[in-house]
Amino acid sequence: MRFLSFRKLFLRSRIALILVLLALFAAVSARTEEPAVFAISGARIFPVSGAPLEKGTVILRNGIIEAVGANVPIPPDARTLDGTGLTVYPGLIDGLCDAGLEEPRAPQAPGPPSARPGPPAAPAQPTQQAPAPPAAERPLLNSHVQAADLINPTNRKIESARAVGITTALVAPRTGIFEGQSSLVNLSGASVGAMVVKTPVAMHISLQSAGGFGGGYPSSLMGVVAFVKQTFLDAERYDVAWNIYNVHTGVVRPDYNHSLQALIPVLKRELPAVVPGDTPAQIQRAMELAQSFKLKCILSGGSEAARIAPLLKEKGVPVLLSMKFPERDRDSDPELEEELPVLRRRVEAPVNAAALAKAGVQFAFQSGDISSPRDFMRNIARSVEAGLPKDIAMRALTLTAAEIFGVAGKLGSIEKGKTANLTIATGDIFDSRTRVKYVFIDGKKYDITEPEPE
Amino acid sequence: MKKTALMATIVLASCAAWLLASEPQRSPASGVLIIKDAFILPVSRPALPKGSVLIREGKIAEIGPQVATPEGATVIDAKGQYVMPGIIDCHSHIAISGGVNEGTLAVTAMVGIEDVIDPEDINIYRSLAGGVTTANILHGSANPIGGRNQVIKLRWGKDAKGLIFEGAKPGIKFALGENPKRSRATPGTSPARYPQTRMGVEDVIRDALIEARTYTEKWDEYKKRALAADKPAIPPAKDLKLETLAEILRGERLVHAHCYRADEILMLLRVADEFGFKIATFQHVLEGYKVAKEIAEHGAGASTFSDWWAYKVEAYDAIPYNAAIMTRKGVVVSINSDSAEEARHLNQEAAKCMKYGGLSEQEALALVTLNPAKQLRIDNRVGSIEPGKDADLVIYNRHPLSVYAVAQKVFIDGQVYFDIQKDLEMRERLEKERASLKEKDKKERERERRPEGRRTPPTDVTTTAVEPPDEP
Repeated sequence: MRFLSFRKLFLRSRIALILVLLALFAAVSARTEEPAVFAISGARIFPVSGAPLEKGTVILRNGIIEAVGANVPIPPDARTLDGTGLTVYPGLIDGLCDAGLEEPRAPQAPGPPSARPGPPAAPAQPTQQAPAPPAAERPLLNSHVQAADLINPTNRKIESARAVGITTALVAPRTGIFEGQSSLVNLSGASVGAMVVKTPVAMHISLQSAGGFGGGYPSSLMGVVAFVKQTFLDAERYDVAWNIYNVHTGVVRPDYNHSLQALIPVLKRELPAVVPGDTPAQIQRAMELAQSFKLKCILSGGSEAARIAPLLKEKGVPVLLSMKFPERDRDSDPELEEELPVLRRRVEAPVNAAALAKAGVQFAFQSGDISSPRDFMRNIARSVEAGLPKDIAMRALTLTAAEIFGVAGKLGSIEKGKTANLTIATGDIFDSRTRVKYVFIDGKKYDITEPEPE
Repeated sequence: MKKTALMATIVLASCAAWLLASEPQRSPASGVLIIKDAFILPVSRPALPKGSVLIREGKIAEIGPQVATPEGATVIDAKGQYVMPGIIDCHSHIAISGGVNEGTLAVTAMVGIEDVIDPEDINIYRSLAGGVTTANILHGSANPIGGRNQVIKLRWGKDAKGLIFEGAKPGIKFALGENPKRSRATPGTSPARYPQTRMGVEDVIRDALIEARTYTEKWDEYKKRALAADKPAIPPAKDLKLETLAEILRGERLVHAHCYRADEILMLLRVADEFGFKIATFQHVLEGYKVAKEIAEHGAGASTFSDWWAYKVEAYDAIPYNAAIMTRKGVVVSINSDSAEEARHLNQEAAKCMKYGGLSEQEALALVTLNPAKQLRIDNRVGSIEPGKDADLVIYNRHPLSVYAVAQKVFIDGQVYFDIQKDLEMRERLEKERASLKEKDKKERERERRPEGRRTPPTDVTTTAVEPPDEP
């Protein structure tokens, strides 16, 4: 250290200089990112929690809604946004998507890690059935994974979601049977730390079977169900074992296991389980599975949920309703008659939400497997055309979603003290001609610009 | 001809959906129903050329040549028609969602058909139209010990739970021979699964049962210690696979073993004797006639095909006399479908055993009714027309052992689940619905094509965060 050459010293100082500059730059940008005070005046306001205001003002300060009303004085330090002709909604919430998550890894199949493509090797010797791997080694068990830890704030999907007015999304990992824990994030594209509203929100379980031969257990749906049951049984015992160990002396210490540990809050109903289901049979299967371990259950999908609406209502199970509507395969033979159930599912898809609303089932919308957020909003609009009352549609996109995720005190309506998330559009958001002009996320304004239509 | 068949398929498929959308009219379960003046085939006793069946609250109340019609009873005039017990298919793979096999492991006793019943499988309705009222839904034969089976009633229109044959003894699928030993390697993902020989199949089964025995002992020991309570003990892990296998050892779960060859049948009988449990049925069992005496001595049933064979090497040494020979040797024999198509004419399959082997009418009918009921331990409920049993009945226009017989009405628990007349009416309604859906679809597409109806802007949009200006 003492024998540093000048050259090295020079280099070091240069590095130091860069660091100082960087720090300064960071400080500057941190200051400018500080949410300012905004006043949106003269706009049509849909607070969702109350009656709409034909002409009103919303004041945002430091990322919080400071005031809303017809006659709210504009603070002198506010930057005013003329809302004349604009409609202000609470920031829209996507009930489930993978915005911000990088492409999911291909599901790992248990077996030798010789996945390199190439000519098939000589047939391997048959192996004696191995004992079921301990829970920690099950590649389909990702209950310990949390979405917030996987988010890339610069992911393009965040921006495209914002473009249609979505300010907040429930993001869930999508690998394995136990996919992991979801996080509710504001789509600000700031640091992950600044984006997260609540985490974990729920444990997400997939009942998708890998299908086919090859690969590991489970390959069938019944295998998947058995896998889920066995895993919960293991988690129950894990909890019991640690309790006995903690209370008594002279007990051999159980092994730590992060996947099973992560399931204990689910078993204790502190964390709801999101289970998938579209057809009545799938929905009942998922609900019974959750019921058998007395889990707090949220249904995901529900594209035919209207057919079983009374049960959902009776059990008080909320639905993260998928807005992915079935489409006719583009490559299908145009002469081919669709089977009636297929035709019915496709043509009647927009009616589903209206029927659920009529039955009094609590639901939010999810973009789920939809690749374009525009199609998400478009299909919500189609549901409205098919009879879903606009106020319920809007509530599903805002306050109901917030209620399901346990953040109704912070998000979902334009009320004093709530997070300054707003979606500002050129008119009725369910009208096809309407465009989203601005969104506010945590009080920060985003301009939505789009090229003139051709 | 082919086109007609295709049309029929489409129409039938359509029926399915409609039925789900709105349930057909059925006589109330609590109602009283009388089927009058029919040719009755009770199966448990000789035929009654002219008689009536009285149904009360879903059960058969009375059967005889003279049955008084109670006041208010729904009367079904079945003059010139034939009434027999609902057909029981002892080997079926209909109504399963997400795969019939969990073939990844050699032993998958942890999985169960009860978890994956698909109540909307059109094959339920089609089987029903063929007179089937109960089916034993089995896991596939990919592994020596497969998943748990589920006996269902074909109560078309009910949900998965509503199909379950309540109180039917639980069971499990075993498989011997070629299927469980032909697992091949998937390059890069998994090696070929053990076993690869019949010896290996036996080893896997014995191994699994020993493991289950050890598991039971471990739990027994724990329970003893927990009772003594001198020291807190962590319970052993509950294992769904071993729980199921332990039930076999305790005689609480029926084994339905897929098999073909005589040697493997004898092998499984020895293993069962060694572990002290009974095999409920040998399935397929095409070489059963060679070891009928041994099967009968063990008390196992045999569920076979009438004349379906030679589709693989182990199915070559088959004869159409199989069912008859085993019957004569004292085995309880049934004819099953193992196919959604064959399930629709099991009455004809039974009839073949009269030609080959000379079974009587009653014996032939028993192959698809009373005998499978016995094999599934549900003969106290179904399988014959006797007072006290469930009113699961089929009315045919001809004698059910005739190739001209077509099911007219099918009852389960005294309710009509298939009615050929209603089916024809339903087809018209469904065609109307299809037309209106297509019209609606067309309109929507046209609107999509119109530029003003298009909601998706053609180009990309971008959003930019706008930094607030510096404070003045």
